Amino acid sequence: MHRLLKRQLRKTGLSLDHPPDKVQWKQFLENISQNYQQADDDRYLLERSLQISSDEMQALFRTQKASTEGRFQALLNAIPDLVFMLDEQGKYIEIIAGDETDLFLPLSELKNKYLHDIMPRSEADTFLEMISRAIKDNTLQLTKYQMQVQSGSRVFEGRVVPTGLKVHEYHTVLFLARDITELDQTHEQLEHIATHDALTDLPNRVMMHERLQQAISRAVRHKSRAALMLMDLDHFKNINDSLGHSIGDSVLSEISQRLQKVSRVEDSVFRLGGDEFILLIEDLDGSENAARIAAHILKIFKDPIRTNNMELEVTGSIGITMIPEDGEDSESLLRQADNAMYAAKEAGRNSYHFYTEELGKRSHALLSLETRLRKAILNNELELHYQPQFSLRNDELIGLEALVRWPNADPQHRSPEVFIGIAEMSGLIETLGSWVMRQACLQGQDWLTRQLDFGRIAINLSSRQLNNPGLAEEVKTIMEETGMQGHRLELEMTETMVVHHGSTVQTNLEAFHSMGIQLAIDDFGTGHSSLINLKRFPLNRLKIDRSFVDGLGEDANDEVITSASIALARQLGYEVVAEGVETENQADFLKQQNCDFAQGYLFARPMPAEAVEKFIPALKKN
Amino acid sequence: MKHSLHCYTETQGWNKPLDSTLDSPNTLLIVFSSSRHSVTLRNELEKLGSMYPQSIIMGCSSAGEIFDEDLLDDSITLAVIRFDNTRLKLAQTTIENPEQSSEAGKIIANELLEDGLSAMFTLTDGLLVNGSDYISGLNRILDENIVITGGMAADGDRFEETWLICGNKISPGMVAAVGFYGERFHIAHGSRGGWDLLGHEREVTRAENNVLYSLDSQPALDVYKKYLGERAAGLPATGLLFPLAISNHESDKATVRTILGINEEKKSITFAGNIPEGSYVKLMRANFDRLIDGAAGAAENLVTEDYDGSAAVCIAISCVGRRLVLGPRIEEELEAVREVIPDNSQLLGYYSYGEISPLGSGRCDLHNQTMTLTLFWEHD
Repeated sequence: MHRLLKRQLRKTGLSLDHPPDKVQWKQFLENISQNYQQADDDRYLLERSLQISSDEMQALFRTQKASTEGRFQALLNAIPDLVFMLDEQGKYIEIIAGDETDLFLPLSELKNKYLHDIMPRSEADTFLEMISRAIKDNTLQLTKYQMQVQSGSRVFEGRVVPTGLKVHEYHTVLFLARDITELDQTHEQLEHIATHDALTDLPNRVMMHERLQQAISRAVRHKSRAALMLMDLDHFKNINDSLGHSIGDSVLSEISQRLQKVSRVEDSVFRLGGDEFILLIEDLDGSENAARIAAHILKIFKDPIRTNNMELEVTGSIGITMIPEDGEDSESLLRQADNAMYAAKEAGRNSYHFYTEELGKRSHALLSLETRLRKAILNNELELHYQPQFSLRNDELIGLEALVRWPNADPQHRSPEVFIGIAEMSGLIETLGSWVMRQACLQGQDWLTRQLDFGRIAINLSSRQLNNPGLAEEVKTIMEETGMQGHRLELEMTETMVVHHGSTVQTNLEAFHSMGIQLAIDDFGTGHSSLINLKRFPLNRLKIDRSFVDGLGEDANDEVITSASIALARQLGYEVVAEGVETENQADFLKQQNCDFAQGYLFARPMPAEAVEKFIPALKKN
Repeated sequence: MKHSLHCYTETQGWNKPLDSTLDSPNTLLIVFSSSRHSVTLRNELEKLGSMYPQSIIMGCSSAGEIFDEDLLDDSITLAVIRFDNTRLKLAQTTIENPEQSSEAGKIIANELLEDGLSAMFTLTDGLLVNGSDYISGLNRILDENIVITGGMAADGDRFEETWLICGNKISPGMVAAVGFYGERFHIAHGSRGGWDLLGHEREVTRAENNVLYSLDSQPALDVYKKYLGERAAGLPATGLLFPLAISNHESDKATVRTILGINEEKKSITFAGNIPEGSYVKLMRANFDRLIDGAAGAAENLVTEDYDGSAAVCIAISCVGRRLVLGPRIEEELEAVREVIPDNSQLLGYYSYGEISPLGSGRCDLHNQTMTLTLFWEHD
């Protein structure tokens, strides 16, 4: 009997043995009815609550499912990848996302096909191997591959990820394929840009280092020989300065084409930068072989380069270093080739020169000297000395020539010819020239403020300075800063510097002229040029070289040349200065020939500024 | 310890005469009475003070009185217990609103905190006290090895007014506790629910202390009304059919909360304990067998190894929600308890608005919808 029924019987005082009386029976039935009602109420509530709860769960599930699916779909839409599910047998289970044209076959034809059905066996095998590795190791597998798909040949990056799910008893993976064709091309282009010269499209310095390293290793390994040739165009700077960079660029392009034409397929040509090219020649028998090739290369300069209706004669100098005899380290080999190239230039350009140990030593000494000179300029260790110039008519002081001195230099480098030579070779000459210019102006202005009349100061210019388009501006700035006036300055240059001129030289000279600066031709007579060539320039005077003055009174030839030069110069309107006058005889001869001015030991030696300050007042007293 | 258990109904009077010889300073009278206004019941309650002038009298209104295996209504159940070697002390204070609950807990605890305090049995008003806050007030003062059990007064299924009896005073708005002092006193306790979880987890989107405003941004009252259907008319009592389980993600044991009242205007529900905003809750539903098993489980928890077979009194405090759900089958849970508790113990108790006993961790806490048992005895 049910526990409840039993308790109800007990509570109403009923027993199983006797039938109930009327009151008990009524009470009992009421209780039973109440219980039925309670059971109904309970069932109602239970059923209701379960239904509502189930509905709520369903709604919640739908919301979450929609949210999950929405996010998943958004994610798939956002990624550019092709996404499909494959099983471990290589069967396409589902194509989940992506551009259909990136697929091997149209979507409809792909499903339930196997990799082996649609692509060559070797490719299918590769993918199957990745799939099995991904499943076995539970790892991401990466690959890059090229494939002929519906939209053409494309490059893909493939990722295989195990899903942990099985379809029909087979493990599955997700295959994500990203079309990286454009990226790949860009990558290649960038690599090309990084390793090639933009102007000539020759491989550049970066590539050269790599190839040189490989060539060295090969030469050592195969006991073979190679040559590293560094070629520099002669006077290329002049082309750029006078004709402009676009002409310079077309020259470089033409040279690069000619170089590629003469070199063998197995040789490598690089543009190092500027007008420097490298040739890497492998598998040589010996240096004779290299020499023949260098000579052959120089033939590319035989024909002039035609550009912008001009014909330009261009030559080049080649420095050669042999691998592995001269070295096995790319940096030193390059330095050696550079030294050898300079040797070729010194030897008269348009030639080649092999690296020797002697060259190495010399260049090392040169380098250290250059460093010291640079420091000397910076530290103001250089000094100016001044040599007075006099009028031959009335013996008056007409000016001072400023001459640079390096008192602290080693004895063998103390001579101005030596250290100015070094400065010219290394490019320091422009710094040195600026220093001289400023120093002379400062000194001159100082003297003028102290009422010390020195006439004018003559300053020597170098070829590099004169070819610098910024020179006139620089001189102007120095004059403004120091207060020096144009008519107090004279700039001296050699006849070669102006005769083999570019437009820059002409522009500079005209600018100086307009600033009131006097211009003089130094060492006149040594350049073997005719006076007529000088007529185009706004010159004021000529300085007759000391080599002619030396012979006056002794050498008839020198006397004829000197007197003719003086006569002609005067006819052209130039004043004439004689340099290196040491004897009374020389002075007398010059006076007879109506030479205007003279300087030399006969009158005064070059002297430091303090000496000038005593010398000038002394002149006045006499 | 000597004890005598009695019950009184208007029709039958006391089941056996009260024995005033048990009166002493070490005598405790525990009384549970119908909350319904009845002159006769009130007279009987008031007589206790004069019959047991030295004894401590503590009791409360209920939602059904338990006497052995029987559930009575409109009755008084009484346990008279004279301890031989245990000192007793009564503490009481008044409370006007739930905000004072924590403070009331501290007052009671401070008053009873004396040397030798080993346990405390407490009763509180069922509607004016926030049970969670009251217990946290107690816990703040008392060490956790002092066992606290008890319950909240009830008012049938009316939720209108509950009251306490303390000595000669019978009044709403009270909290009281009796402290047990001495080493011979022993106490054991057990508490079980046995409800099933229903539906999905819901976020408490708005709540303040023990007032719940919204679940998953829906008004809390609407959620309950939807589940109750036509039985929503019986709110707040019918709300007890769906207690609320607050998930505790740290210990996977949920705290159960029972409804005390509703506010139609604010669509809010007031619970017997706090509902933290931002917590996750689930509705619960009754499963008869499991509720009854729960009661038996509470009794099994109770039986301890150090029980020596001495005469014992078992106070059963069960939740009004269980009574509402089990309906005519409610006595089955009393039978289940009776079957498990020691033969030499007598059972007395009531249906409450909240049960108080230690958790597994030892800290006292408020429970709802449980059968909570306290067994005490003295050994020689």
